[in-house]
Amino acid sequence: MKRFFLLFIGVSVLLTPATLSAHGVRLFCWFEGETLHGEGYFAGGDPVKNSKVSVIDSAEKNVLAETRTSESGTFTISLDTSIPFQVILDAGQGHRASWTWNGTREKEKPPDHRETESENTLPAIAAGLAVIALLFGFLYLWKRGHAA
Amino acid sequence: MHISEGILPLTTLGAGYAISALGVGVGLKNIRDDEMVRTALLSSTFFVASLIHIPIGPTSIHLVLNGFVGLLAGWSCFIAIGIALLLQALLFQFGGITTLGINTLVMSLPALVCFLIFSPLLSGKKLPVAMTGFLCGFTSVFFSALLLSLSLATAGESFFPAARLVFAANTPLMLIDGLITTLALQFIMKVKPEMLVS
Repeated sequence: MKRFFLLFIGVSVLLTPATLSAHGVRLFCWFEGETLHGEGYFAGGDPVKNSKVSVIDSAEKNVLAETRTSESGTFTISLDTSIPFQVILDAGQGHRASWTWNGTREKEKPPDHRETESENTLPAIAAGLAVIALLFGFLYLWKRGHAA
Repeated sequence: MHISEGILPLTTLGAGYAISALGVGVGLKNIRDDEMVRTALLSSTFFVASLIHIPIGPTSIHLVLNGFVGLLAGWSCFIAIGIALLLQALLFQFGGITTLGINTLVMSLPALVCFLIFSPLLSGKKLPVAMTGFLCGFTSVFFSALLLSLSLATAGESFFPAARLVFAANTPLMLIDGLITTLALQFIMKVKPEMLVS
């Protein structure tokens, strides 16, 4: 029984990703003509609502534009796409994400939600299962300690 | 079927935490060493089941399986479900920390009721496994939806329509959870019947 538990805990620890993306913020941007569209969401898929979006000139570090995300986490800004800039999404409490445009590379397509959400969810599921194993491992050892 | 933060009054949130803490306490006192792995696996099942979304019309619902967890975990269902809900709140923003108590209560109390009703029936072979599984899955979601609606109703009259809607929206889930619980119990009865018949 004890060996089985140690194996269970060991495998779970190995499965735990190096960083937990519990409140990780994701930002995706793409162009339609001269208009920049963006979407921010947390790990797990919830939208980043009503949060500040800043566009910073990569060379001069000036603020080119500012806006806020909608209830669905999206935003739209009209910009000069010939200069490099960085889009920064501030979701509050230190949760930030950025997206960089170098002014020349091929314009991005809208994000594929199925792909991005599954990418975000799988490490979180693995982390959750590992934590469950660890908690029950501690509970087992705690009960054994009290029984002794 | 998670209640989000900022909706329910403090009294409901406090009552949820108090009753859930009592359930977790009884579970911690009664859980045996040889039940730890099974309870951990049931907690993992509950944690993952909520992430499986089934599209129904313009919306989608997710599996609950609290009846299945309750039937196999007994009083430990409060521990298994409480931990899974805590992780869902932290990792996926399902529910929340202030609503963890009431969400645990909404899911675990029907699970415990199912254990108390259906475990003796299963052990005594008074009902076929398939029927026990369906009734267990159906009943647990039925009572969870009822508790959820009642909890929402404590937030004021403005939440009465939402409470009715939540109950109606979960009706298909009662059938789906009943079917999945049936399949799971039939499988366990085939490969490891001692888990069900004590």
